[in-house]
Amino acid sequence: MVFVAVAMLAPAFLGGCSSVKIAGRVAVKGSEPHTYLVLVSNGQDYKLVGPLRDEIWKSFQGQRIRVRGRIVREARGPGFPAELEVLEILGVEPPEGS
Amino acid sequence: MFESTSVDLIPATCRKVVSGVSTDFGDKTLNIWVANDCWTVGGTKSRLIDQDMVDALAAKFLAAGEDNDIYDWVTNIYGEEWGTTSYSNLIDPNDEITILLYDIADDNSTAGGIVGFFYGKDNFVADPDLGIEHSNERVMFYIDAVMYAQEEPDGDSWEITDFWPSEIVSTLAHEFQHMIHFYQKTIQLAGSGTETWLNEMLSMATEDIVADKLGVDGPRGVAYADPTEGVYPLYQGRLPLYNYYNDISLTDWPPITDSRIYSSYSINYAFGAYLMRNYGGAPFLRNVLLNAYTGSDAVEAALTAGGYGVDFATVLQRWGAANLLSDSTAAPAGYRYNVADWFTSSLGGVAYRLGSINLYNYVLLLSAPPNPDTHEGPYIYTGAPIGAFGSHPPAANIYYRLGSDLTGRVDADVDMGSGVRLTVVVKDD
Repeated sequence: MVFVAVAMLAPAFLGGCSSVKIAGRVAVKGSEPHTYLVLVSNGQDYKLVGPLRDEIWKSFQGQRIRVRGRIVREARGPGFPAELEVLEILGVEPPEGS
Repeated sequence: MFESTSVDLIPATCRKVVSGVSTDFGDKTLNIWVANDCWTVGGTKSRLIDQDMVDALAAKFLAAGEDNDIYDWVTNIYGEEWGTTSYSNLIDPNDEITILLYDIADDNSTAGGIVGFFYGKDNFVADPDLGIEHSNERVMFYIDAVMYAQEEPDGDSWEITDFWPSEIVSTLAHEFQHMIHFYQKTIQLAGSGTETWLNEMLSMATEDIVADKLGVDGPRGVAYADPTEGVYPLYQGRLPLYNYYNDISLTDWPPITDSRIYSSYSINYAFGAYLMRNYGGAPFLRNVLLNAYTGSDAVEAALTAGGYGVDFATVLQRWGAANLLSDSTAAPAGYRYNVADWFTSSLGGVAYRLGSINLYNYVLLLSAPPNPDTHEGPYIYTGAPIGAFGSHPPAANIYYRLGSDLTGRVDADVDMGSGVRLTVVVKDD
């Protein structure tokens, strides 16, 4: 029997998608060592990928931000949300309810 | 660090099947697989697994009889690890759990690293279109074989009570919470993942609440059979590091490549330990898991379900005070770490015990022996003017000593940022 242990799944790239603008709260989800950064927007998670991910992880946890990006992978199910490649950080949004 | 983007194919052999074990959720089967390069015959790692080790691990996790193993104690709190779902791309339940023992991160390490993990990808069908292409299609978790096989001291005979084997046993309970969490909250209740700080807090709280049953010291770092605060100095467990970094954010979580991750584990253990000891123990843990919330609102929902009329910000404040009062066994309800005895709770006819904690007993080694630099007890700022701390992280407490041997009226101007609350603790030392 051969088991498959995966540290990080390589996303299937959906080429040719137009960009979207999404605002949401930045949070880290999952359990170690498979944590992932998400934007929680209107109750839906978007897993953030791409070169801007690390900056968002470091600087914007817990804050609401607006980004421009493109969906590069559809959601597979709970805990495996759609993947949003962040192309641009547009700004920090006021806290929800303010 | 474990950051490979490659797919690891792990040749392994099934070394143990424990089948037909009666539980509250029906008969269950445990399969233990060992990576071929970690096996006593033909293995190449620095420490190798043998059949006695496999048998001992199985006995800790799933054994015939009632109320006598990790499966019983942890499912009694959180519920069943897997079942039917409304998703066509998730595997069907078959009442089997698999443990894979292998060298996580291929680091051949006997001195730390990733001890174990659960990864929900294995609960999906292995279909690149419908599910997750690298799924093992099993309800399973992964345990580091090399650390589990590490005897103490080096060269002595292996015992499951040795340091790293004990850590692995505790890790079984930790990872089992993650496994059940994925099914009960992520799949069935919330429909989305849980914030990492909360998920890890629950896992470390689980280690804490079953430590005395398992016969391991757990994250508290006091002998498992000792209900008291232990004896100074205490170097083990999560709390020495917590004390030194007690002012970081509870809810921010670093990436795995950041060494501050250990501090995040430690602060979330300290918070979970406080919550259990003040808000209901095992029933509180159950209430945190079994709701549809995935962040601090899950804690608030549990507090409400338990009849405690407090919100998250209030428990953060009380927790801060509890830190400073942990050397007292007479702190008021809601501010306790230490009663010089067990904190007890009961759920489903099972009694759970949590030992007392005095944060002032813990010592962190800041440098290597001999004559290491050390830090003792909660980190409390002195000398700096209040307000001169730069940014205050979210969901964080900062501790400042205004003075000692003060008498009469004391006035202080406190410059606080928006959303920051002040708590004053007066101790009569």
